Amino acid sequence: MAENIGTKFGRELNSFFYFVIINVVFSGLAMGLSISFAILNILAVADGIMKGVLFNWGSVPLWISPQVFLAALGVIAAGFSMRWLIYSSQMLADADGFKKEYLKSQQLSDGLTSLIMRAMAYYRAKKTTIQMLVLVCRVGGICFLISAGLQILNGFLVLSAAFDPFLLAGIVASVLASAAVGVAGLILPRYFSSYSSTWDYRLKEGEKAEEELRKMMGGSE
Amino acid sequence: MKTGRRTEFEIYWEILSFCKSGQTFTQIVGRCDLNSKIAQDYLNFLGDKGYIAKVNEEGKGIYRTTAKAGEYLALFTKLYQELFDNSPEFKL
Repeated sequence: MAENIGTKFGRELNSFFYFVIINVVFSGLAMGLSISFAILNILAVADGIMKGVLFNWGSVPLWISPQVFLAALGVIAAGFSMRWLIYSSQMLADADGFKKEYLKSQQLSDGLTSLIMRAMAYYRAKKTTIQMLVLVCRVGGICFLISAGLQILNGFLVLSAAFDPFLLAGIVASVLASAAVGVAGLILPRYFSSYSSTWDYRLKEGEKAEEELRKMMGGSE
Repeated sequence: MKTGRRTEFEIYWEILSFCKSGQTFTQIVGRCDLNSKIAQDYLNFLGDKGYIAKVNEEGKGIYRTTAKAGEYLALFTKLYQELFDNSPEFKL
């Protein structure tokens, strides 16, 4: 049984490790993209204001300019992406620590039990962070999907005035990158939920185990 | 690696497992990530249960897990390995 449990723990640890790496990659991409969107659009808005274009844009008020929305979205998405990246990086360090412990545990008699116990303690401590990550990922994902939509709208407005194939290629690439990060932001929380439900089940079973241990200890409280 | 949020039973197991080979108080505090007062409370409790004994070796106070603690260690290991084995697996 111990060998099977060890193999299962190792497989699960690998899944968690790669999942966290995917999160670090996408959160890094999300932060880079959102900062670049924010800066480019803030510059575009500033340029418009300096030229008086945005203030005197016929009867269209400044606040419905797509660049203003994109700049605001970029700033919001950058904030969420940063939280996403920070949480993911912390979890990557933890997953790496577990991998090292797992390698060491194979030479120790109590190594596997110690790892299971530590993984349970880790999940108890990180449960709130994981719930926060689910929220941050989703909000970030939605921001990027809205951003992709606004970029299409903005691209359509710009290209309909003067068609430029290089600009079109740039807009398509930018929309695809935003959409990819947006979709990732909506898919990754499903895996976090799956990870949570697995460990919630174990914590619940752990409470039953605690009862048996309490009986043996004759009530330690 | 940080120890996370452990239950009292997990801390008992960690102390007993670590003290199989005999450890000083300082080593227990460091390895089990406990403060001195809490570590002393746990050691007193385990001592009262007869699961751990303090002996003097080469002028040092050494805490050593007793044979009686084997029942607790065995039950804990069985329960924790079973709960992990019987639970669904997280897969990518």
